[in-house]
Amino acid sequence: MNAVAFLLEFLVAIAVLLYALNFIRWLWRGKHILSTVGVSILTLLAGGLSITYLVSKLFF
Amino acid sequence: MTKNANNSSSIRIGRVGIAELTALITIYCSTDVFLSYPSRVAVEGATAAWMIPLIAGVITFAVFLLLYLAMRKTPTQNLIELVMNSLSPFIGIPVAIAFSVFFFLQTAIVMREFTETVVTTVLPRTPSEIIAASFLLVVVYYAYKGLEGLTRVAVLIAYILGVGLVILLVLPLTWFHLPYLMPLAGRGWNVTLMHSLLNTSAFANVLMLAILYPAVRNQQHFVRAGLMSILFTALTMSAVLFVVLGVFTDAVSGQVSFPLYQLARLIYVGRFVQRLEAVFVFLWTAGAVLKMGFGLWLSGYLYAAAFRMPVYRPILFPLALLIYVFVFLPQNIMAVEALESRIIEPFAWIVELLAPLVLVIVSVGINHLRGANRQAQS
Repeated sequence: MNAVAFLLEFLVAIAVLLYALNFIRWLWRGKHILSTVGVSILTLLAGGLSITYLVSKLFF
Repeated sequence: MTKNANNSSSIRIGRVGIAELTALITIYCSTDVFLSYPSRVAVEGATAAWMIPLIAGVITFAVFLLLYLAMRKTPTQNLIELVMNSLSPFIGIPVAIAFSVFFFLQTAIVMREFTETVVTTVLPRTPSEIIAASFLLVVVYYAYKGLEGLTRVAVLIAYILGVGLVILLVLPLTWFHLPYLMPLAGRGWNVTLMHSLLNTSAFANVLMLAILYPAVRNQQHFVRAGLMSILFTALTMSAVLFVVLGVFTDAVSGQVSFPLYQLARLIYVGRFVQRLEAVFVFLWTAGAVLKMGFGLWLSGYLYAAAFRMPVYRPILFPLALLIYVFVFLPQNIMAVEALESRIIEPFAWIVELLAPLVLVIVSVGINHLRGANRQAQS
């Protein structure tokens, strides 16, 4: 059960991050530089913290 | 005001009516009564705790009136646009990010509180992660539907919530004892007044109205929505505290984590009308999800406004992921309640009342000076 839950959480996190990366690419192509910076910061935070949280849950 | 109220904004948020906006803001602010708010205020105000939301409401309304008087000359701009245009983006961007972070953290804290409450009261065997994830799914959907969707749902739910809350407050009155509310002044008028000042933190009305100013159809609607949302919030909180104190006494209310839930468990009107906490859980979840949805929407909208994004909806998903992580950062519900009582309650009024008022007055003052200089030069 724990492994399935972990896998689901991990997959959802990856899907969200891929979606955010796609949005960043769309903003970059539209030359919304400030917006690109903003979404990149948010994506880095969300990606970094969620993966850290999931990995820490797996080991501790 | 204003045929083109939304034109200055790069993000379109739509238009809302008085009833819808009042319902949404009232639900957002008064949903705290389902959680530990009555317990915290009972400790602070003792037998006079029921007066604290009323006095806090009067203070909030005074601040709201000052804000309205300052903002009425710029009806097409909300707080963030006003600061960006009048001061500079170097001040506007950090301000918008700070407000976004504030709503983000508030949403995460409320989600953790509701998750733990669901676990401890109705679903003790379900893992917290599953409850939080289920909440988050609906919350993201609500936020994705935008302000108009949220306000329409709010006005639908408001009637059900109102009737349900009245039933929950009236049926336990068989246990009510008026002497439990004496002495009237609680710990003294000075203490009551001081806690009322701090409890303005429960009223995010001013900040939200300053952000949603261009979404309202005209200035009369803005004032009415402000007055009614503050009035309904204060009355709801005060009525809940009045009944809770009259049934449990202030000493016991301060010890109970979720007094309104305990109040619902007391209901016994014959064999067929008893254990109404099931109704309570329905009301509480409906209000909570709306509150969290609006919190996520505000956080996303403000973040998008800070970085001048053309749209805000795509960032709701990474924000929701971040909320999911933040929900589980505090070790337990006690840590969350400590955070509420030691940091949020004593200091949130600075973000919710003081900051919007000061920013609007300074921005409007600078606009006025610039206008006077231009006239002098020409």
